[in-house]
Amino acid sequence: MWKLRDVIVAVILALVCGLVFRVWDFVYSILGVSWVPGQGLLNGVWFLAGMLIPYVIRRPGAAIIAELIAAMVELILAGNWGWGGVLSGLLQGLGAEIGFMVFAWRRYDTWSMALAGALAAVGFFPQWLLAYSGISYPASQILGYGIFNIISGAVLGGLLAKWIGDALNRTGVLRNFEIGRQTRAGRSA
Amino acid sequence: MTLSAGGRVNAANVREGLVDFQDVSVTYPDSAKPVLEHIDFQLRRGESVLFLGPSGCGKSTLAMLCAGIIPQSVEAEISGFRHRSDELKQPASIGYVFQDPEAGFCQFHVADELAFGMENKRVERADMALRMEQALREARLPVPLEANHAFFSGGMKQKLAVASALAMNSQFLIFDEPTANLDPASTGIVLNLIDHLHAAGTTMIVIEHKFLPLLDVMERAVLFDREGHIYRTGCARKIVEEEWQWLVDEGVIPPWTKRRHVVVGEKPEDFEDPRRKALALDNPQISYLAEGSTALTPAAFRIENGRLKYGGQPVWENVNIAVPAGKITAIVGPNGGGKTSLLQVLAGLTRLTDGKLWVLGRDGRDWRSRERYQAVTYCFQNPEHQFAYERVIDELANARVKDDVPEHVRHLLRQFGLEGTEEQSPFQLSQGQKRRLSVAAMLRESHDAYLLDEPTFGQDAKTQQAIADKLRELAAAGKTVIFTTHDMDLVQQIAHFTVVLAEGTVLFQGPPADLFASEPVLRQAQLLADSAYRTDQGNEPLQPHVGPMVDTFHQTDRSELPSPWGAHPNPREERASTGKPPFLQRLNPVFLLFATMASGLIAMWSFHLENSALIFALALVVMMVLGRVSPWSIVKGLLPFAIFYLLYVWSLAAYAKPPAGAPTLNFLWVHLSWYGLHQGEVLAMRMLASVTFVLMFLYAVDFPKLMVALMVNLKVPPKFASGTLAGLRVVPLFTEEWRKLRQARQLRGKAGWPWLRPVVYALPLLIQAIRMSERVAIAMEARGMLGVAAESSRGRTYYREAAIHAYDYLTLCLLPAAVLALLLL
Repeated sequence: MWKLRDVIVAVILALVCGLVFRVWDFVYSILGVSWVPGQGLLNGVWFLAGMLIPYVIRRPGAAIIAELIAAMVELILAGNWGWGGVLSGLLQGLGAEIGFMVFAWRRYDTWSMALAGALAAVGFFPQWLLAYSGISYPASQILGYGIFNIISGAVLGGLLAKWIGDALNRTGVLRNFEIGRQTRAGRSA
Repeated sequence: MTLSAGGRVNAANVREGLVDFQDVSVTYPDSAKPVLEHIDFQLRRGESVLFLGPSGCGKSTLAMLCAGIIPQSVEAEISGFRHRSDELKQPASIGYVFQDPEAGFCQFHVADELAFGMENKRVERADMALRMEQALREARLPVPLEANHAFFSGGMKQKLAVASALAMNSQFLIFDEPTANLDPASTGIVLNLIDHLHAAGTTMIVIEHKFLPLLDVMERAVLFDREGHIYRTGCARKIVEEEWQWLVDEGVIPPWTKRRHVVVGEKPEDFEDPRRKALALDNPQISYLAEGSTALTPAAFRIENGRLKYGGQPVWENVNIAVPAGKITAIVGPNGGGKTSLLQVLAGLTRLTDGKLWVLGRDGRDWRSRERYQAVTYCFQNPEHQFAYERVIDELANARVKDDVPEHVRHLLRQFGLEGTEEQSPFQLSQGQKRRLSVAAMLRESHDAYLLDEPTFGQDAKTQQAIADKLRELAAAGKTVIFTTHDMDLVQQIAHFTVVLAEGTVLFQGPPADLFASEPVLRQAQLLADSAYRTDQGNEPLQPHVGPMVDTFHQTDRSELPSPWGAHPNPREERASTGKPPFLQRLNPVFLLFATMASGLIAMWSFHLENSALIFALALVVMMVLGRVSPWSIVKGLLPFAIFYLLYVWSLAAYAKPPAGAPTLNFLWVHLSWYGLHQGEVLAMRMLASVTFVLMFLYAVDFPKLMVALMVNLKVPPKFASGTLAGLRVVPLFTEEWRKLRQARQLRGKAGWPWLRPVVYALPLLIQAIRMSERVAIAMEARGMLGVAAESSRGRTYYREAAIHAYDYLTLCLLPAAVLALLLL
C-alpha cells in the first residue's frame, strides 16, 4: 500500500533519475560506440529509475511509474530520443515491474534486482529491433546486442541501483521507508 | 480509568480535556532506549503549554503524540494509557507549525495552501473564500490570495502556516520551534501571534528556545530532562524562575542569558539599559575597540565599494568594511539581508560583482585558491553540506583511515564529545553532534581566519557554549573569527566587532556596545525583537499593516530563498493578471496534456520533410496565437532540442551509408553524402515537430491546476496527485544544494573533476531531498491528507474548479486531427 511519503520520494528520485538519463544521453553519444553489442552494454543506466525507486519504497507499480516519470523528465530536458524515450521508459518499466511481480513485490535482494534489471532490458529489446532498426543487423550482432543488453540491465541497472539504495539506507534517512523497515526486520530476525 | 475521574465532573467551568496520557513511553525504531518514559500529561481546551528541555529530550515527540502524528505518520512503539478526545481524532483537527516553514507547505499559492486542509475536511467550496479571509486576518497576514508564498519572508511563512491551520478551524495549535529560522523581528511577529491566539482562547503547545517573552502568555510549562522524563510541570513563570539554575545546567538556557523578569508589553531586551552598557565597557577587549581604536588593529579583510548581484538581483551595494584581525566579528541583519553572501565573498566562495577585496593584506584576486582555502576556512550553516565521507572518523581526518587514526584526530574527537561515533555515518548524528563535527573538522588544521555561517543555529545551549568558547580561544590565539548570527545575546557575549547588513548595504560597523546603544540602527535592521512585537499589538484594523508588510515582501532577498520555482516569477501569471489568459491556458489541463501528447506521438510517424515542416509550423502557430507565447521564448525553448538534432543531421550526412551510386565526398573517415544529409534533415525535422508539442504543453500548463484536474476529472487518488505536486516543489532546492555542495568541496580541496561531480554529490543531495520529502509528507498528513481524503478523489472537496467545456473536447479532437491531416497530405 503506497503511503504519501512513498509518492513524494518516488517523484523526487524519478526526477533525479530523469536528469541522470539526460546526462547519460550525452555520454552515450560522446562515446559513440559503433560496435553494436557494445551499445547494448551501455543501456543499463537508463533502467535506473525502474530499479532504484522500487528498491527503496518497495510498492507494486513503483518501477513502471518511476521509469515513466523519469523518461518524461528526460524528454522535457530536451531528450534527444523524443517521444521514443517515453516509450522506452514505459517498456523498460513494464519489464522491471514484471521482475518484481514474480516475487510478489516481497523480495528485494541481489538476485531479484538483477532479474528485474534483466527484464527491463528484455522490455526494451522489441523497441530496439523495430524503432531503432536493430532488425537490419546480422543475426550474430542482434544476438550479441540482446545478451549484452541483458547483462547491462542486470548489472548497471539492477546492481547499481541496489548499491545506491544501500548507501542511502546506511545514512539512516530511509528509516521510515519500506527499505529501512525491512532492513530492521531482517536484523532482528 | 476514565477521563472524568477526579473532581472534574461537577465543575461547570472546568475546561474539557483534550489529551490524557498516563505512564506513556515512546521508543523509536532503531533505537534501544525510549525517547520518552513514564509520561503523565493532560491538556484541556483553551490551555497553553510551554515545553522546555534540552535537545533530544522528547519535547517534539510528546507534541506529535498529542497531535496524533505519532503513530499515524511516524512509527514508534508506544506503551501506557493514551486518550485523545474524539474531536482530535478527526483528520486535520490540529494545526502543526514546524521549524522549517518550507516543510509545512505543499502548494504554490496562498489560496491553495489555505484550501488544502479544508479540502481534506470536505469543506464546501462556497464556504472556503470567507474562511480564508478570516484566517488571514486572524493570523495578521494581509496578502492577496493569489500570491506565491515562495517570496514570503520566514515570519510571513510561519504566519501562513498558522493561517492554514485556522482555516481548517483547528482549535488546537502546536508550534514546534517556529522561530528557529527567523531573524529577531520575524521572531517578534510569531511570538506576538502566539500571544494573540492565546487571547482568542486557542489551545496551544509551544516548543520554543526564545521562550522568555512567552512566560506570561503560557499558562503552564513542562520541563523535560535529558532522559525523556518530565522533570517538573507547573505555572510557567513560577517554575522558570525557580528552576533557572537547572535550566542552565541542562543546557536549555545559555549561561550568558541574564536572568530577567519579562513583563508583557515591556521591551524584552532593554538595550538602553545603562548597566548593560557599563558591562560591555568593563570588558577590556570590548572597551579597547569601543574607544575608536579599530584603526590601530590591522584589518584582516577589507571591502571597498563592494557590490554583489545574484541571479541578476542586487543583494547589497556600497559595502565598505574593514574586519579587524585577531578579533571576533559578528555579521548581523534581517533574514535575506545578504549576510551569508558577505561571508562567502570574504571566504572567496562567491565573487564580488564590483569593488575591491583585500584578504589578509593581499588583493583578493592575487590569491591562488588553494592557498586561500588554506588561510581562510569556512563553516556552512548546514553542517551536512560539508560531509564528504561515510564515517565520522574519516570525516574528521579528511581521509579514509583504518586503524592508524592520527593522534590529533583522536584529540579532536575527545574535545568535541564525539567519542563512540567514529564508525557512524555523519548524517546519522544528532543536530548538535553534526555541528560539533563540522567545527572540529574546521579546527583540524590551523588557519589564519575562521568564517562561520550561523554556527549556533538550532543548537542547544551546551553546544552553543562549546562553540562560543572555541571561538574565544581562537581569537585569543590571534586568529580572526567572523560569524553570522541572529542571536544578539551571543553577539553581546563574544563579539568584538559587528557589521550590520540590512536594506542592501552596511548600516553599521563598530563595536557591539555602540550597536546596542543605537536603537535606530537596531530597529532599521530588524534586530529588535520587540519592534514588531509592539507595533503589531492590539486589534487595529487590517489596513495599516499593509505598508510594512509589503516592505518586507520586497526586501526579502530572493536569491537566498531556496524557493520552489520562485526565483523566476512566472511571466504567464503577470500577463494573466492583466486580462483573460490565452486560450491554451484556459483549457482543462488534462485535455491539454492529452491533446499535445497525441499530437506529438502522431508527428513521430511523419517520414517526409515537407509534412514534418508543416506540422512544425502548425505547432508554432498554435503556440503563438492560442498560447500567446512570444517567438523569442519559443526559440529559447527549442534551442536545446535543435542543437541535438543538428548533430543528427551532421552524423547522418557524414556517416550514412548511401545507396550504391549516390555521390559521396570522402576525406579521412567522413563520407559526406547528399543522401545522408537528406536523411538527417528528415529525422531532425520530425523530432523537432514532435517535441514542439512538449513545449506547447509546458508553456501553457499550470501544475497545481493539472493536479486538481487529475483528481477531479480522472479520479486519480489524491495522495498520488498531491504527492506529485509536493515532490515537484522540492526540485528548486536542488540547485541551491548543488551550489553549496560545490563550495564545500572546493574548500576542502575535494571538488574533483567537474564531470565527476554528479556522482560525488549524489548522496548528500539525495539525502536532503529524502529528508525534505519526509517532512513534507508528515505535514501533509497532519493537514488531513489521510484515509479517505488521500485514497479517493471523491473523499475531499476542491477549491479550484476543473470544469470541462465544449472547447476542451474540440481541442482534443481537432489538434491531433490537424496533425494527422498534415501528415497524410
